[in-house]
Formats: sequence, structure tokens, C-alpha cells
Amino acid sequence: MLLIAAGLLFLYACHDVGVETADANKAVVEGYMIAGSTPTIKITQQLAYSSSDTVVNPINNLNVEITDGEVVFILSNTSDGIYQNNELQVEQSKTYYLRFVYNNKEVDSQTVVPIKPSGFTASATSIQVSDFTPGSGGGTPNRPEPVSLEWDNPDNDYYLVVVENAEADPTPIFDDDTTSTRPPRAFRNSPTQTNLQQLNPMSFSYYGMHRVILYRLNPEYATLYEDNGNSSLTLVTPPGNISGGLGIFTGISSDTVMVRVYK
Amino acid sequence: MRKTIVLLLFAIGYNAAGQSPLEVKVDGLFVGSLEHVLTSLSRDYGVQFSFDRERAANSRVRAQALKQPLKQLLDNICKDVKLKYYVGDGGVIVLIERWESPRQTTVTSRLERTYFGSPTKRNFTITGKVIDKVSKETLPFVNVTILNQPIGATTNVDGLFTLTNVPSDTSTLALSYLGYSKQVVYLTPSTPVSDLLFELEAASQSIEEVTITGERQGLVQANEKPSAIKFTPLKLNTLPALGEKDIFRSFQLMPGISAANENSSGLYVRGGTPDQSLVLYDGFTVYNVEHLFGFFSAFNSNAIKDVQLYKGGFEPRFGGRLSSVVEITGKEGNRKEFNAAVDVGLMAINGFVEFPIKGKTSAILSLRRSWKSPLYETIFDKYSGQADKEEPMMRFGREMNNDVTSYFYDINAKVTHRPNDFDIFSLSIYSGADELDNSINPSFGGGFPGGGGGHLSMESVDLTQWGNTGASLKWSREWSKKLYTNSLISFSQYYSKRDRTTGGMFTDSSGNVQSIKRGLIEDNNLFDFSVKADAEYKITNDNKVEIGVQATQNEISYTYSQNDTLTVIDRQSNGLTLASYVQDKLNLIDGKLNLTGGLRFTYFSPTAKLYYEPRLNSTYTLNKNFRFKASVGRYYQFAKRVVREDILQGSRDFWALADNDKLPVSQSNQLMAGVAFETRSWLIDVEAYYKQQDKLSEYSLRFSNDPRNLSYDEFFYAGKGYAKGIDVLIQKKLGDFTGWVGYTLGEVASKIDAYGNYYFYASNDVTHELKLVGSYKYKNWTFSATWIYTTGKPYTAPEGGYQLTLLDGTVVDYINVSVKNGNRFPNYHRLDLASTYNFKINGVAPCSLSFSLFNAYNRTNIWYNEYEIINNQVVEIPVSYLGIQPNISFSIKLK
Repeated sequence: MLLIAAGLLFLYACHDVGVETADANKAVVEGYMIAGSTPTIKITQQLAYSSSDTVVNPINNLNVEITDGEVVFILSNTSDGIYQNNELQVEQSKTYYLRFVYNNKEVDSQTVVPIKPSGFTASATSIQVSDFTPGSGGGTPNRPEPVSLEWDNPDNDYYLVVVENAEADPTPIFDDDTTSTRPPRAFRNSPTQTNLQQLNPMSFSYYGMHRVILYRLNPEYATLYEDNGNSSLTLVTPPGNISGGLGIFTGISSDTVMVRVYK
Repeated sequence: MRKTIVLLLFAIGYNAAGQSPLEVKVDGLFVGSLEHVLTSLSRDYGVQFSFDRERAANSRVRAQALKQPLKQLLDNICKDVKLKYYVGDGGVIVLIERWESPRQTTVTSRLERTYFGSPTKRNFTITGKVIDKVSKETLPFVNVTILNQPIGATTNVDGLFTLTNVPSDTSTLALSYLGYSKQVVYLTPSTPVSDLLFELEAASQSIEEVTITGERQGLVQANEKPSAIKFTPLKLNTLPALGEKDIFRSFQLMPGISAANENSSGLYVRGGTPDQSLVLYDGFTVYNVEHLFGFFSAFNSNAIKDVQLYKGGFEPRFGGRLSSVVEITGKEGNRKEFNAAVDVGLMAINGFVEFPIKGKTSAILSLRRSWKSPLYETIFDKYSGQADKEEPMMRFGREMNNDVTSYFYDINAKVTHRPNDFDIFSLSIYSGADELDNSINPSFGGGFPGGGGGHLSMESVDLTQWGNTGASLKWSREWSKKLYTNSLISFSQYYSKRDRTTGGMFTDSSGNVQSIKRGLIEDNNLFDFSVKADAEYKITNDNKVEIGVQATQNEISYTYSQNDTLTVIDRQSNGLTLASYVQDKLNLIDGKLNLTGGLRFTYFSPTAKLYYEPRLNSTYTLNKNFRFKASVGRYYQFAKRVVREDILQGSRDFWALADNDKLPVSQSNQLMAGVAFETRSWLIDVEAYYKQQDKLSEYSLRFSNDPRNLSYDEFFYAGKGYAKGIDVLIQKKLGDFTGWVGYTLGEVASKIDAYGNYYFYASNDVTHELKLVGSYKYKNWTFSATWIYTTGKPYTAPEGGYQLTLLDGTVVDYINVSVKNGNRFPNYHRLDLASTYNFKINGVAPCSLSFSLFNAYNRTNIWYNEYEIINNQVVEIPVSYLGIQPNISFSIKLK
């Protein structure tokens, strides 16, 4: 009888694959591998709904390493949740691998740094935008032509245009002293797979020099911009390319032109 | 008890002339009891009669003959007293009941052995038929064995059996059938060996009477065949029930069949889902087995004669499903006399009538319909309350609109015709449906407040309907003692509609009529037309071959629309499934080793491929206590129910036909081994199983990152999985106290690549499942209790959130979902209690009065969680199963 019981238990135990169960203690990675710069990798903990925490907890003291396939760079924990290694200079076209162990689970990811955008031009280097100060008088403000941006994109890669004010203390276009909050210094259009975009003058919030940065992206980053549509009707898995964790580790290259906004 | 008497008096007259006894001229007025009339006829004309003395003494006769042949007189008499006659061996005129067959010999059990001589025959074969003593219906799957020997046979679906290798004509036959008193028959050299007729008496009808063998059988039988279970509908009312006695709910009390599904009467067998169970009702497939959101099964136990459940390892004659087979045989109706019964419970009113039609035909009609009892309302509100959360408007509507239409019903009808002793024709029809209409239709005349002269009519539709209709026409024929065939044509339809929309028409200020509609519309329709033919041929006493062909044409459509312009899924599929099988049942080593092996071939037109399913199952009887069993086989499934994952509001499912593209044909390889130890009153049964499954399907929108531009047809996912477990049953079978302990240790996991490179627990995975069932009989009372304890079910939930800072400095919030089914609800447990009082009105009409208490200690078991996302925060709303529910039901039968 014992023999039979052992036999039946053996039949039960003969296939054991290890089944995944929920574990909210996950690392969230935010790592942009921008060509020509030293990357900053930010690692935080997912905020579990079951916990009473309301602030994001950084994860420190991890052994984070990035390799380019030849050299292994060990990143040091420079501040809360931030990992860096100044010897690591991101180069275009290279594939980088990120790896660390958190909560007894290997977290890894890989990305290719795209080649720097080519042929990036703007149709104008300056643009005139009228003052909108309340009470400055009537009249129709002028409607300047939009600035056309163009670049080469034969392979329909993803590009993102980000415009940021480069002045130390810029003057707002819509000067409203009644509010203490100022508009953001940067604005963007959605990622695109085309080779041109127009900058609407109405999008600018400040006068002065602006950096118009064209980022060349990997698809994994472009998906971050898509409306994930989470609502009470659907719930979808968030985008990301971190195996064993959450977030993003992505290679980016960029080119910049300057545009001046004046009254 | 039937006693046959042969009169042999004054053998004069016709014998000398050599004429038939029916040609003897008789003369005179014959008045009095049939017994008296036959006795005087025998005395005056020297004719020999055989008849049932008790029946004849109670039948009054008045007939006149003027020098007419005896045939005319007998025709008139038999017409009056509803008998028939034939001339048997030696010119004896045998009077029998109309439902009886002339060639059969009724065998009755005796309490004691009467023959003590030496046997005269050895190693011979007995054939016969087993029927119900009261209704004279044939009884399928009755166990016929030689006492204390590993020799046995089972009656087929028409009650016929062939018992081979009977050691001697002094052996003892034992007939046992669940819910009936066991019958023991001592063979003697004078017992006929063919066409024996055995009458079994239902145990529930023998209250106040002495049970012949003193054995009281339980309501479940679990060790007849490997992985097979049989329940008797006769004793179901002794188990605690939620409003209605329910055969499927009772199966859920057995190990290997999950009980943690209060909202599903479907069968989750050994890690399978309900759609992986083939449910055959009189030969036609039933695709949906649920009433009232699954709280009740769609089968009226008053219409059912026999139910067999194969938990796995089923024979090649069944196909098209991965997990299990439920074979339901409907009642044929009383072949002797009219009978009727009514049950009234807190859920439904249920009744049937059964009657013979001219001796050769019998019919039964049963009806059941729910009524708006407080219990019905509780369940309805529980479910529709959940639905209401989708649309706050609806809840308002429900309160405003008390005129909610909601009911379920089912009808079973069956007519059985036996033109002779060899053929049986039966037509069986089933129809059942649920309708829930929670719509509101207010109309605002006179225009908008402050608007123009427009007219607005708004309608809020909340309609859920589903149901089945099926019919089969079956012809069974016993060509010879060796060859038996069954032919069947059948039709089955299933539909499920859900319309939860708000919409309306309004006339704008320009006078144009505009319409709007939004919400959710689901429509699933399935048709099944089948033709089947099966034949079994006994090559030798130890070798029976069965072959068969089956053709099924399926037409299945499913549409899922989110409003009147966005159709998410639109599938129309037709397919022909052509199957044939051959299987062989072999008895080896003096009947100790039984092997059933065979092959099933299926051609499935949507994939244009051939599928082979080899299967083998075996039992080895070591001695009278120990039996080993094993089975191995491959199974395919062509029509399947696909789960549409909905994390926030609970998943729903729909039937679809497999194809070569998004929905592959599911496949499973299965292995089972077990051992049973059985004594007269105890059974300990252990079975371990392992099932490997492939091409399981799911539908999920969880990877649809941009709902605005996607092809919804892309989101069918296929994966693989496995199920393994050990089922343990310890059953006390006999005595005033019967019951069992059922325990299952199980694991069901799947891997769908789209969800990630990992195995996750299937939604029906339950690690530990313990069931205690006890029933105690005291005088005319039966008290019973069931306790269920199971590990909580797995579920998927929003797990947490995080933020990322994008290149332009904006911060985006993300909500992350746990790994599929990565969480578990708290453990489920529930105690149900019941007591039943059996009595007879006027000593003839059996009645029973049942009281039951569902969830006796009012445990709050979680059914599912609902989530609402408000400002990127997840709000969890647990929805629980039913709390304590008392119930009372009463049933009365004419006879």
C-alpha cells in the first residue's frame, strides 16, 4: 500500500515547473542611454496598492552593471536610487546590456543606441510672437508662420521633437502676474515616424533662445507616449522593456537646432 | 411480489384433437375475478393458463361467449383488464402485462437458497434485462455480478446485459444499482439462462418495507469503472441544496470536481473547464448547463433516470472534449400506469407526468419554472447588482423600475416506442432558457427643458438571455445476442445574448431624428446537427468490439460590440467534424484483467486535418478487495469556449469553433493510475492523474496599448498547460450513516507566451479541496451535512503603480497588473445542512419534505473583486458569494 502511495505521489511530483505568483516588490528602471553622455540610471520600487506608502522608495545598494558586450561597467550608487559610472560614455550603434539582482530576481534589459539623426534643419532660426499681456490693448495678434523641421528618415524610425527654453530667466509670452505658477519651459509633440514636423508658434511660452532637440528613438520608448487607455473599462499592461522589472532602458541619440523667439 | 401459477387441470378436449388452444369453442357468461374466470375456463375446456395470481384476483371481468373461439373471448377480456397473452411452450396460454415481453422470464430474488444439489451446467452465459419494479422502465448501467467472484457485467443504455463465464448454475447473482435495493438471485439448474427479466425496487420507495438484503445504499457509486462516478437522481433530495436538487451540484461534492464555484454549476473536472466536459443528454450535446448565472444546472433531476460522469480516461466512443464526459439518460416514462409528481421549492416549481400509450409506448413530460421567491431575488440582485456598477444609471433604473422580468424554465419530453422485443425508438426533447430583462424605457415628451420643441425618448436596455434546445431521435436494435446497434440523429442549439446599452432617439431643432446608442452587446449562437451510429459485437464471451461513426455540423457565431459602431469581435465559423472509432473490450486472466483500448479518428473540416486519438484503460482485480486501474489517452477539442479576460469586471466567455489561425484545436495527453480498496461497506479509492494540454485559448485586450487603432481580432492567445493531482475518496457505503470524505491535491497551470515567459495558475486552480459529506437515516428522516474547504482561487489584480520622467520632463503614471492569476482569494469554506422527511399519503403517494440551510455559519466567501480607477488610484470592491440561505421544498408523487 505504501509503495502504491509513493508511486502515485511520484506521478504527482514528476512535473514541477515553478508557477509565477504575484509579487509587487519590483524594481522600476528609468535609464536613458543618450549617445555622447554618461547615463544616469534611476531605480525605484513599485508602489504596491496593498501598502500604505504614498511616496516612491528609491532602491539603493544594488550591484548594477552595464556592458557593451566587451567592457563591464559597474555603476555606483551616487545618490538615492541613482547609479552612475563616469567612465561609461554612450556611443551610437552600440548595444548595451543592463543587469542587476533585486529581490532575488534578475532584472535585465538591453538596448541599441541609434545613430545620430542626419539632415536636421529648421525653416527659420527666429520667430516673432506677439505679446499677450492682459490689458495690452486690442487688435488681432499677428499669426506667424510655423517653423518647419525636417530630417532624414528613410526607414520610418521613431523621432521625437522636444523644445526647451535655453535662457536663465526667460520672459513669459503670456505675462499673467495673477498666478504664481509659470508655464513649463519645455514642450513636445508626439513621437513620429515621419521626417517632418511643424512647430506651432502658439506652443511657445517664453521669449528667448530655444533648443529644438530631435531625439531618435527606439520603438520601446515611443510606446511610453501612447495613451495606455487605462480606465474603468480596460486595464492594460504598461509598456516597458525590463525583464524581471518595470520601466525603460533605452538608447537615444539626438541633434539640436536653435530657434529664437522675439516680440 | 409476482407469483406465476400454471393451471393444469383436466387435460381433456383440444389436446386430443391437436388443435390450438385458442381455437377451442367456449360458451357462457364469465363474470367475476380474472382468476376465477381463468380457473373455470381451464376446468371446463382443459386449457392451461399462466398468469399472475395477485393481479388476476384483483381484476374484475365480465364477458360473454356464444360458441366462439377462445381467442375472441380472451381478446375481449385482455382489452378490459389491459393485459396481453401468447401461447407458450406446451400450449400454455400466458397472460402478461402489456409492457412485458413474451420471451422473458421474470426472476425474483429469494431470501434463502432453495437448491442444494450439484450444478448441471458450467461456464455458460446469461442474458437478460433489468427494469424498475414500479414504472417498468429499463435501467441502464446496472451492475450484474456473480457474488464473491470477479465476474460481472453492466446493462447497456437499454437495460440489456450479457454475463459471460458464469461458473455454474448454482452460482449467486447480485444486481446492484444506485438508489435501488440490491437484489440477490440464487441460480438453480432450472433457472432459464436467456432473456431473464429482473425487477429492481427503488430504495426510496421501500420505506416502511423490509429491504430485501438489509443493505442500504448511498447515493453515489464511485468504483465501478476507472475515474467514473454515478449519482442517483432518486436520492438527491437528501443532500443540502440551494433551492433545487441538482445533479451537477452533487457531482461537485466528489473529489476531482471542483466545488469552489458557487456561481457555476458547470463541471471543473481535474483541472478542466466546464466547456471541456462533454455533456450528452439522450445522445445530443448540451453546450450550456447553467441556469440563473450558473447557480443551478439546466437539468431537471425529475426527468433523469441515470447520470454517469467519467472524470477522465474515457473511451474512444466519446470525443471532442479534453476533460470529462457526462452521460445523462432521460426517463422513458412509466410503462405500466399513469403517474405524476410535483415539487415545490423556494426556487422553482417542478412537475412531471408519465404514462403508457397502448402498452408499447411510454411518454414523460416534465416542466420546471422558477418563481420570484425571496431566494431567487437574492441571487438575481447579487448578480444584477454587480452588473449595475458598470452604469450608475442602471442602478437607478433598477430602483425606479420594479417591473424586472426574470425567470428560467426547462422542459423535457420523451416518447419511447417498443414495437417488438428487438427495437426501441425514442424521441427526446429538451428546451431550457433564462431571461433577465432589467430595461427601462422612460419617455420625455414636450421637449428639452429650455430647449426647442424636440422630443426625446431614451431607452436603457439591460437584457440577458441564454438557453439551449436539443432533440434526438434514437433507434436501438438488438439484432442478435451478439450484435447490438444504436443510431441517432440529433440537433442542439445554444444561444447567449447580452445587451447592456443606453440609447435613444431624439428630434433635433431642425426636425431631424437622431439616434444614439452606447454600451455593450454580445451575441453568441451555436448550432449542432449530428448523426451517429454505434454497433457492438461480441466476438467471444471475453471480447467485445465496438465501432461507430459520428458526423457533426457546427455553425457558431459570436459578435461583441462596444456600441453600435465599434464591433470588437465578429466571428462566424462553420465546420464539419467526421469521427469514427473502434474499440475492443477484453477480459483476460479469468476476468481479472479488463482492457478497453481503441482509436478514434476525426476529420475536422476547418483545419482539413485528420486527428488520431489512441486510448487505453484497464483494471486489474487482485482479489475481492483490491483493484488497480490505469488509463492513458489523447484527446482533442474542436469547439471550445474562449475566455474573454476582463480584469476589472470579471471575465466572460463564448463558444467558438477552432480554426487554423487564431484558435487552434486544443489537445491533451492524459495519464491516470489508481488503486481501490473495497469492502462490503467501505471504499477507499485513490487516483493520481497528469494531463498535458496544448493550444488552450484566451482572449484578452490587456496588451492593446492603444485602443484607438487596433485590430481586435489580433488578441486571441494560445498557450499550453498541465493539470495534475491526486483524488482520494473514503466512502462509507452502507448502513444508516453513509457518506464520504473527498480530498484533492491539485495543480493547474498554463503558459501563454503573450502574458510572459512563465507558467501561471489557471483560474480554476485549487491546491487543496476537502469535502465532507454525511447522511444519517433515522426512521423516516434523513439528516445530511456537507462541508467544503478549498484553497482560494487565483485572480489577476492591479498590483501597483510607478512613475517615469520622460525626455521632455513630463512625469507619467503607470498602473501595473500582477502576473496573470498571481493573487489568491482567501480560502473558501461552507457548511450546508439538510433534513428530509419521507412519508406516504394514504399509504400510496410518496412525499418528501426537505429543509435545508445553505452556508449555515454565514461565511463570507469572496467571489471576485471589482476595480475602479479614479485619478490613477485603484479602488478595490470585493463582491462576496451568498450568505446564509434557508430553504424548504416539498415533493409529492402519485405512486
